[in-house]
Amino acid sequence: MLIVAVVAGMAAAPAGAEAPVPGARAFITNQGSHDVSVVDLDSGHELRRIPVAAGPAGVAVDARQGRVYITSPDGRMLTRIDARTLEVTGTLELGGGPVGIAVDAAGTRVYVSDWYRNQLMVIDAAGLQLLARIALGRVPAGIAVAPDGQQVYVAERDEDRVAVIDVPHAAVVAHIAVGAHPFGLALSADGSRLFAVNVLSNNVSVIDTAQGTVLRTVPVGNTPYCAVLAEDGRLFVTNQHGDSLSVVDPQAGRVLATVPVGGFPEGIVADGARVLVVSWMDEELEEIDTVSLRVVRRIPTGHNSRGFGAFLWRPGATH
Amino acid sequence: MRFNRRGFGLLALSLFALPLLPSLALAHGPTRQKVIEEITIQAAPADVWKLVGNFGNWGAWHPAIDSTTVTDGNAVGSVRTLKLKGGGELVEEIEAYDAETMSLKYRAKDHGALPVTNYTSMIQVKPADGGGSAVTWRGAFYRGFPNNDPPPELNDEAAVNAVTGVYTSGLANLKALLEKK
Repeated sequence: MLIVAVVAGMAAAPAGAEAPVPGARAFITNQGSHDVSVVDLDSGHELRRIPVAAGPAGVAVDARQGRVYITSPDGRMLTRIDARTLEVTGTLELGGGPVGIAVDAAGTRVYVSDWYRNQLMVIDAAGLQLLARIALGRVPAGIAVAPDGQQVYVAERDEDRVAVIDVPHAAVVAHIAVGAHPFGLALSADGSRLFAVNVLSNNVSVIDTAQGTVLRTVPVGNTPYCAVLAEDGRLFVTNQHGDSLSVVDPQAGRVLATVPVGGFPEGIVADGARVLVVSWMDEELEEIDTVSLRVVRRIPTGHNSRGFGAFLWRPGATH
Repeated sequence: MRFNRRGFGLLALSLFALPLLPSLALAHGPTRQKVIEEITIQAAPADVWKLVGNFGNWGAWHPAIDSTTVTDGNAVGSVRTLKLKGGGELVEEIEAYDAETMSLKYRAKDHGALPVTNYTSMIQVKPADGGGSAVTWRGAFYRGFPNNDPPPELNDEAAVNAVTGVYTSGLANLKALLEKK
């Protein structure tokens, strides 16, 4: 297939550079249209819609190598996309129900939670080969990887707990009890705090990863789903049935503000002074200014967009 | 690399011909579905909301409802039990109620008369451009069968068709009632 270079919206090439440096991009899984919307965040335009296996949901980005990984629970497939050229560079058939996905900071290993077979699949990123299967509790969902890549956390939704996996031993070494039905996970940049978003108990568990204990539980909006820690230390939580974001002070353990957004907000990422949220019902990517706490931009996506995972790619970023 | 999705589906079937034992997981199907239906009615929004905003008496306008009991009127947490004319029932609870924006959100208990799970819905009345009212009814749900390889009567399509039928028949009758001279 001929790939047509998309020049519009890209940042100007620095002198002497071999190729134009693209701006930051969002890779949004569209579960209803079986593709990935690539959004140029400088121009606010959708660059491309990349077809993938049926019902894509999860997304992870290896910033260093510029690789994007997509799970398709219906197609039971992992797809790898080059973040620059937007070409599909590989696929791996996984079976089961691959949903949650994360990649370590080095970009060497990809972790996929299998919703139906209650396991974590460990995948070699370069060769796209399955390295190991680690048995988990019922309905594993969101995944977070420690900054050093030595530990992986998985929300075991129907066990109301988070599994802690030791990577060198490829084994579950601890469980942390959280609220009811944890789905999305978020980790602080230094790896010291883990946040589990509890869908049925409408709260977020704040976890001290060194101790493996819950420090506090913060009530948020209706049916929360995912969360991200912004640069300034505030936690932004998507409330699916609240059609809103809860802005949380994780230290004080309270909600500072509630921001109305589109219907069924799901995946969320932070990028400097903005957060980007995917609205499943309204099928758009929404940009929220973290200072004014207002939606400042709405960019249409494909159908039933999810963006479940860290869907942002910023060229030159290391994590 | 690109592939045709249908072609891939056949390939996947052949590669995964060994049936997986369905787990006992309480998980829902992998893909949430949605239905959005809208209708314009030549009636004042307040008059439409009188019917739509009365959680315990949707039998006054929805043709599928035989009878209703409700625990707490329009309060958040109020639960209604709908007996359907074709048999079966639905148990639904108010999640949010806003008379100002004329919107109502509710969620259904699983294993009701519809082939869906994790079903939530919102109905809203707004003034229509050029007069009258616009009623939007939207639902989010998973198919009835929680694991891979659902039987046809419990697959995604069956779920979407059932909910679409509820919305279109209800909205059509609501319009007919309110526009009747």
